[in-house]
Amino acid sequence: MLRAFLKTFQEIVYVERFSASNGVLQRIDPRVKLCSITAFILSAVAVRTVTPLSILFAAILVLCVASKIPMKFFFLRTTLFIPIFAAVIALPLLFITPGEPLAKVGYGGLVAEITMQGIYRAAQFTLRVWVCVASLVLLVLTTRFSKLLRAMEEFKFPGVLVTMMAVTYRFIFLFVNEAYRMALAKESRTVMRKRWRGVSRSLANMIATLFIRAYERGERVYLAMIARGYKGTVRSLGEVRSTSRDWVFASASAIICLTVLSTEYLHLGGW
Amino acid sequence: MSEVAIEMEEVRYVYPDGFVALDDVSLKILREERVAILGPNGAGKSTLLMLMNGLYKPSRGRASVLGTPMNTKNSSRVRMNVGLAFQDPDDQLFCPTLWEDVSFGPLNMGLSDGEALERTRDALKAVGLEGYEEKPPHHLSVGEKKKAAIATVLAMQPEILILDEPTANLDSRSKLELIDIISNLRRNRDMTLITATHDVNFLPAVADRVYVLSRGRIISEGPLKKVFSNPKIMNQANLELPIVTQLFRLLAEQNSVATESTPLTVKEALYEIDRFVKRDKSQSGRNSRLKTEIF
Repeated sequence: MLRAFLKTFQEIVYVERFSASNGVLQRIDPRVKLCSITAFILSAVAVRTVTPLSILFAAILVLCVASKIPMKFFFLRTTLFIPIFAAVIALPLLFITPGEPLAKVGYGGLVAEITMQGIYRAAQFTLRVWVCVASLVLLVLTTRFSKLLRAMEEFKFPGVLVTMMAVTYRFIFLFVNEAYRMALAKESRTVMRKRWRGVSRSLANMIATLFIRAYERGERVYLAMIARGYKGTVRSLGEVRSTSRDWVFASASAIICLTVLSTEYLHLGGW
Repeated sequence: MSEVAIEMEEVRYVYPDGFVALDDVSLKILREERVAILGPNGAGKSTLLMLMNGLYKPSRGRASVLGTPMNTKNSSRVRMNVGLAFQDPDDQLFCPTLWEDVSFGPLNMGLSDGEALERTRDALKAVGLEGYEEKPPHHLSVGEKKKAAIATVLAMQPEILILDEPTANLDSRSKLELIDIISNLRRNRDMTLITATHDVNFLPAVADRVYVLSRGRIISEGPLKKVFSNPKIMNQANLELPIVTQLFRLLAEQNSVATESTPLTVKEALYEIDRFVKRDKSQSGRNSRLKTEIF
């Protein structure tokens, strides 16, 4: 099971093939993309009704198609996090939101009512999380990680944060591979089905070993950085320039956000 | 300017847990020399290289690089002149792309963008990784990672290049490519080359002189032929002789082929065989003439 999980994780993380393709978003300056996606997320957080969120979601889907990302892959990747986090948080909303009762769930004295308003709030919350996740996934899928970091540098994000992100991104692949190899080695020496206690113990050992290896590698990487003159800051090469295409995209993003916000605050329709 | 690249006198290094990695190590490496540090796993080779780069400070003894004493104050200056390629290239390559990794050193040296760009291009070209600039390191093969790790150091244009186990985990083709790269480097840039390895077959291609390290101590030093002619030393260091040398030693023991010197490489072996065959032919010719005169 652990091996299968690690394999799936590997497949999810290895998505650099899309950032290299020739789609619309791939050709946009990462700084503009970062700003636009941040604006999308802020707009999603600022609205409380489903219609503006749907408009935003539709815009993201259009961008997804224009960026040559397969819809099935995009949906799988974005929905993977929603049932786990958003739905768990949104579930109680079905019962605790006061309103028109739709159904009763429970047994004996423990009965809870699902309300229409509860369903609406849960759907609205899930959609909002979905839009935010989808926006970020779109950004990550269409931008090379190095360019994303460069954009963050340009926006004066703290250097330590950018370096930490770069190193994490670089080594996450290595550690996933290492964990996968460890799981494989463990499985090759497993001849009898173990009880849960035995499984959890070997899993704990594996995690501990991986932690020690990660710590030791961290030390060696730091020494290698020091050996090449690292003094706490990382400089990047080259200049980033925006073109008219980037400005057109930025304007389009602004229009989308304005439409979403006006639908909400000017009560232009929907529920 | 000092003619000595690296000098160490009675250096001892103790890890924080009390493990003595190096003890009483004294060595002198001259500029533009090709020197190897030979020793089995755990002999203290990597620790010695870290000391040479100024990453570790000796617990006792003195060390200097190009005449500059190694201490906390001088460590930056030392690192500018001493390029160290780590044993595991994954330790060395930590940026999202190769381009950023190779330019990391020159940019840290305070060079301008233009100069760093030029050095990055040159270094990638020197190791044959042109066109790999935008590749993330986790997409490279082990051989390519090794080359990339060397490029990250070359971009700093160090006077002393140190390679830690460069052939570890490499297939024979990648080994040959690496030897080619190192030979070209030596031809094009006048640099001191220090290689730590236990790969005795690779050694003659990258070194003329060797220090044999065993359990943190230098047990022998000298030209390769001299050190390899002493099987006791090699045994003491848990090392084997190069395969060609072993073969000729066996042949000599059986009195099949007697050569003037023990060959270390296939090329040298070929030369010795050729000489032996010619000598043998002339000897048998002389013998047959003698026979004719007698009878």
